[in-house]
Amino acid sequence: MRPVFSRWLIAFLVGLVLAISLLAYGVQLGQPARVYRNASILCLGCIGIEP
Amino acid sequence: MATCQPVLLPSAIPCPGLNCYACPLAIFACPIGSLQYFVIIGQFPFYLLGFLALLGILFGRAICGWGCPFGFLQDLLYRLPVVKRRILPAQVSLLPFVVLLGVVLVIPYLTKEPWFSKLCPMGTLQAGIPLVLLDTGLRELVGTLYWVKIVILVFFITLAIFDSRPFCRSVCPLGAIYALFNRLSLIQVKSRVGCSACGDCSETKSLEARCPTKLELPRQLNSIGCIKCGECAACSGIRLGVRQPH
Repeated sequence: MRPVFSRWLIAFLVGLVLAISLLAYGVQLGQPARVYRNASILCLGCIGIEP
Repeated sequence: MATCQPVLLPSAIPCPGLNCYACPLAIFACPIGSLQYFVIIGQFPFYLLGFLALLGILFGRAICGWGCPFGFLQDLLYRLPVVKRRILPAQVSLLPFVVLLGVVLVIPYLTKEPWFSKLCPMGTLQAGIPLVLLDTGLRELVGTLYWVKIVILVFFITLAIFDSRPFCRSVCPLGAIYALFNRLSLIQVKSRVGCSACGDCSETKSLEARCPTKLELPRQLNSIGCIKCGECAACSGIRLGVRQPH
C-alpha cells in the first residue's frame, strides 16, 4: 500500500520549516541590519586592493 | 522594530546567484561575502543560512542554471565557435565543498579576512575592473592581489571557452550550498521510467554532450553537479518541473 506522505514530502516539509525558522530567528536577531551595513561598506578585498 | 527595518532594503537581502556587492551597480548583497562576514565577526549566520536553505529547498541548483550571472557568462563563452574539450575531470565536482569549508569558512575564521572574496573572479569582473578604471585614487592602490585576481579571472574565462562552466563545476561555494538540497528540492529533473530504452544517452551520448556539467545521464539527474538547466529535457524522456507530492 502506498503511504499517504512519501519520505520525500516529509523531508521537504521538515527542511522548509527549518529554513523558515532559521531565517525568522536571524531577522529577529537583527542580522539583516548587519548584512546591510556590511554591504554598504566598499569591499576592498573584492576589488583586489589591500588597505 | 528598528532592527527589522533594514530587511526591507535590497542590500540587506543576499543575491541568490554569485553577484559582487562591490560592483558600482549592485543592489543586493553577496551571499558568500555576507557569510564570510558573519564567520569573521564570530556570529552564527542564522539569517543567511535560512535564506540560502529556503532557496535551496525550493529550487536546488536550478538557481545556478537559471539565475546566476557568472554561470550565464560562462554559458555565453562556451557558445563561442571553437573546438570544445573536456578539460576538467568528473572528480572536480567535490572541490566546491572543499572551497566552501576551507576558503569560505575555516580560513576566514582563523585569519579574520574574507579570503574567498579576495580571490573571487566575479568580484574582479564586476567591481575590480570597473572601479579601478573609474577611480584614480583606487588605481594608485593596485598591488599584487589585484593582478592575482586578474589572472584567476582570465584563467576561468579562457577555460570557459573550451570546457563548459568550469567555475561552477570546480570552485563555486554557493553552488555547493545549493547542491546539499538538490535531491530534496521542489524543482526536479525527472526521467520517465524506461527512458534509457531509446539508447540515446548510452549509445550516441548526445544527452551527455548537451549537459553543461558533463553528468552521466540519466543516472546523475539531480545529483550534486546537476544545475537543472533543462538542456537534457530536449529528450522526451526527461522533464524539468515541480516534484509531485507522492
